[in-house]
Amino acid sequence: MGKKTDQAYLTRGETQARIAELKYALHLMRQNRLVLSGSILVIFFIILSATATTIVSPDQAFDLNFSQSYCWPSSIISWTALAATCPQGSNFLLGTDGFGRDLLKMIILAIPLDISIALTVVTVATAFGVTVGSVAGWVGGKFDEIILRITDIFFAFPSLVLALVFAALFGRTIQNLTIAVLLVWWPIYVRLMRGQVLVEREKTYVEALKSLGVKPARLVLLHIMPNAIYPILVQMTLDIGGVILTFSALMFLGFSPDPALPELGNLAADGIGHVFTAPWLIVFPGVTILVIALAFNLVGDGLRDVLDPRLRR
Amino acid sequence: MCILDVRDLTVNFRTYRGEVKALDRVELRLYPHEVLALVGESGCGKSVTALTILGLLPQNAYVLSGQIIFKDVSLLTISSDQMRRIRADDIAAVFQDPVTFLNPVLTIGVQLEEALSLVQDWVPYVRVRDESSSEASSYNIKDYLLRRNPPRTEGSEIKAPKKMSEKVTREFSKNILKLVQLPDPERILTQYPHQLSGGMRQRCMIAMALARRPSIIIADEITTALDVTVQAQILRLLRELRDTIDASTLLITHDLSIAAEAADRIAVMYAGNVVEIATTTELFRNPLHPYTQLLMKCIPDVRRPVIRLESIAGSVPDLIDPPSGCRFHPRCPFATDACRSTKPIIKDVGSDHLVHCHLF
Amino acid sequence: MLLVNDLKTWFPIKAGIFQRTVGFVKAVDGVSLTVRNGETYGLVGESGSGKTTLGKSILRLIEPTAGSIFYAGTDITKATKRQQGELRRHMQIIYQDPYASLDPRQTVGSALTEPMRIHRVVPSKAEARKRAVELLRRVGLNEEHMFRFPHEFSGGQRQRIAVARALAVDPDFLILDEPTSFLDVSVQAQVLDLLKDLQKELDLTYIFISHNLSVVRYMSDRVGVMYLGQLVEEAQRDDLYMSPEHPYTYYLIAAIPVPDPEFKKVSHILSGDVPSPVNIPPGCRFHPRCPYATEKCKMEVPFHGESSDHKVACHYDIDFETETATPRYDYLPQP
Repeated sequence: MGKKTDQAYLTRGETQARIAELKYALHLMRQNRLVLSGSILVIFFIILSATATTIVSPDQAFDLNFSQSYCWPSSIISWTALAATCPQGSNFLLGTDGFGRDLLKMIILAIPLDISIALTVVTVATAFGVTVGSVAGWVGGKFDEIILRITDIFFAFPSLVLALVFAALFGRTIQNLTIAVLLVWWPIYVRLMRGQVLVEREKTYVEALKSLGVKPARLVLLHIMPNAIYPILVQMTLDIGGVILTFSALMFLGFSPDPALPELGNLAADGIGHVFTAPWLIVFPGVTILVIALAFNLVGDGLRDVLDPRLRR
Repeated sequence: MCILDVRDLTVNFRTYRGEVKALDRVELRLYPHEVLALVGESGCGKSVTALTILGLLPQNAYVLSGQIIFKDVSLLTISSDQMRRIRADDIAAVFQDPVTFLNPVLTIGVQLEEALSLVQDWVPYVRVRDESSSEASSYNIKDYLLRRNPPRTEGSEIKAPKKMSEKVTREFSKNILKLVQLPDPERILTQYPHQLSGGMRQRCMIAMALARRPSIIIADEITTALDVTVQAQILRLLRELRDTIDASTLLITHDLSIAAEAADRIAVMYAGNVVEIATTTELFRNPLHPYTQLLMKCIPDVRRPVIRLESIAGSVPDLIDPPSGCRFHPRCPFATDACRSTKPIIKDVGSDHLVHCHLF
Repeated sequence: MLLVNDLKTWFPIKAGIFQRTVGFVKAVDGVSLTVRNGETYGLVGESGSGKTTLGKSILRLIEPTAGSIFYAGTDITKATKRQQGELRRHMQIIYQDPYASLDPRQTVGSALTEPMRIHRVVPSKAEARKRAVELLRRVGLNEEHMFRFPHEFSGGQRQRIAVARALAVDPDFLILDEPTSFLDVSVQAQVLDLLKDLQKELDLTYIFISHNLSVVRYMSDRVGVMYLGQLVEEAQRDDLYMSPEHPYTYYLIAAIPVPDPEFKKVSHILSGDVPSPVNIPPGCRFHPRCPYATEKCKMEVPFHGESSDHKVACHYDIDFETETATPRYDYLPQP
């Protein structure tokens, strides 16, 4: 009996406990079919993003061939009366865009770009929001008031307007546009985290830890944050779709840094001008955005269902 | 003879870690005009029994076997619509925490009205021209609740339209609130649940249950959340109501002392089994089942000198994998081999005292 | 060991656009008591009596508004932050709700070792873990429970974990705030016995707060009864239960359900509801509900005693059998 209480055992025990918890969470998620399909899709997209450049060489984006622009491969599906058919021998699966590039290949190239932008925005916004939000929630008082007012100001602007103004001022590069979208998204995380910290702060276990002598910094970092973080995680997954949509909207409105950039919104933007001659240009990129957003949303929903009742278990 | 007959009831719950065998061949009978206390600690299945009777089990629960016969109707086989109607006017339930069970955005008056509107047979008992004595009104309430004949309509017009007028409903509501000993019922009708104290809310819930003139009232831990002086008031109310209303009460509690005070008969439950049923006096005079005996020794008694409390060794079993044979055997000081291998059957030891144990 | 002197904890009520203070919730309104080394002082009262607030004020988890608290000679109301941190080692609290007092994301082992390391009770992590296992065993759990999360335990087990955690820093003084209210009767018996054993073994001093008079009687040496923020009676345990002097105490004792159906129930049950500390009645706080109240009771009531051991805050000496009240003669004026 005494032998068991050795260091290694005790350390291992902690990690094992957490792993067991994780396994239970995953099991719960697997049970819901929608969530399951969402997760499979998300994994698919991530793998696709990682391998995109091997499937399709980025040079293809520069392979412009105006002679075969706006054409659809086969005449089996005739989109509209004005849609052109591609020349014989060409194997474009989803038609071509305005530059004569294979739409499917462009979409494959666009996916990693969009997802990485979305992940960047969401991660940075979360990191910033969680830090500022927890301090605001914990400390309260004047600091909290100031932060709230600042977030209010940002909320007052319609998101696109804010992004547009920033982009207009600082030029249209992908980085700037990413920052523009980030500016729109960060206040939500601050508010969310702050709200959660406010709730947790009043709970008995926090008072109990205070009575044990745990200092505030440690209390917030090691105790409150792990308990408060769940809605944030859910929000993160849900926002990925939202960020892609916002970014695409920016492209739509003509803020694209380069008309030939393989980006989902950009591709669709091109299609606006050619609705009747090349409707597939809106349809396929649009559907891709839809599916990505949906996949992440489903995972987010599943996370929410898993995390909530489990805490009450 | 009995109003509610639960026979051989077995209920399981499906969970992540396995099947929880919550109720294991539960048997009990509720007779008219009595208060039967269902006593047991948390996890013993007393609330599950109540929910099964009410037909309010959650999704992951199912009845494996057994019957519940209520006034010649088998509750487990009827449709959910029929069950709902029975819940509306024949079996009423009062739960532990009125804060969550009363609608916070509706006044008491509105909620009481809602309860009254479910049944229309109280109409003949109301005297419309009623400004005179409150005495007359209370009399009607008691008449109604005791199912006596409605008063003759001398000098008052009793219309029985489809929808009762506001005034009449209000009168009746006031009288019901008076019956549960609420002071100033006129004002309470206009108040919201959060404006009332715990004891008052509980009385409102009891009033709402009584309004429908049920045959059975199921009271699930109704005093647990209340202060001790308020609890005493509510228990006294229950005792007094027992004589004025024509209903049986199934009183669910974890506190044997409350059962001693308020109940005529007591059924003790442990880990999904009813281990002993007897009249209150008989049970306290002669507790037979080891669990009952040990339970009584756990309670600090104010009248006796302070000696060390005896506790029951071990802990409540996990019902996913309950002990074989008698579920109490791991903690029972008298366990024998028979107890470990076979389930005991219910034996009648005379004077209406039933025990579920191999020792008898 | 502990001396509380005229402690007041008021919570301001703010209203209006400018959040001005319009009144106070006088949760604790002038309480003085002493707790001797090694004894258990039982604090009894219903909701709104202020007993929990008093307990937390003593530990300064809620800041008292006025009065002083002397612990082992030093006035802790005037302690600096640093001193407070050290005091945390000596004075601990066990909460009522075992489902809320543990961090749900923290394993039991971590919950036990954390306070040890903060207060440097042990020299190393390894030592801390060993000690944690010992503590778990002492409260009746096993070492494999170190790696589980709170939600995997029952209420009784969680309270034991809370006790183990409180003991981790080797305290002298424990405030037990209704530790068994949410527990089953058999589990309650186990936890209470555990607390009693630990008290003897480790020479601890307890303040045991509860609304359950039978439990308080089982655990305490002396008992104080609180009503609306003040102590209305204080006596040695047996004295209080056998001959209560304040009417509130009497009714409180009469209201306890007794596990004996043949026990003749006192016909007097206290009427009215437990009041809230926002609107405190003038004079004797109990007078609106007291069947013996007179005009005099609407004046201020002093807290005086027949002997220094049995203190009552009442103008009258009441004989509950005959239901007569005679005025007290040893009326001591307020200093």
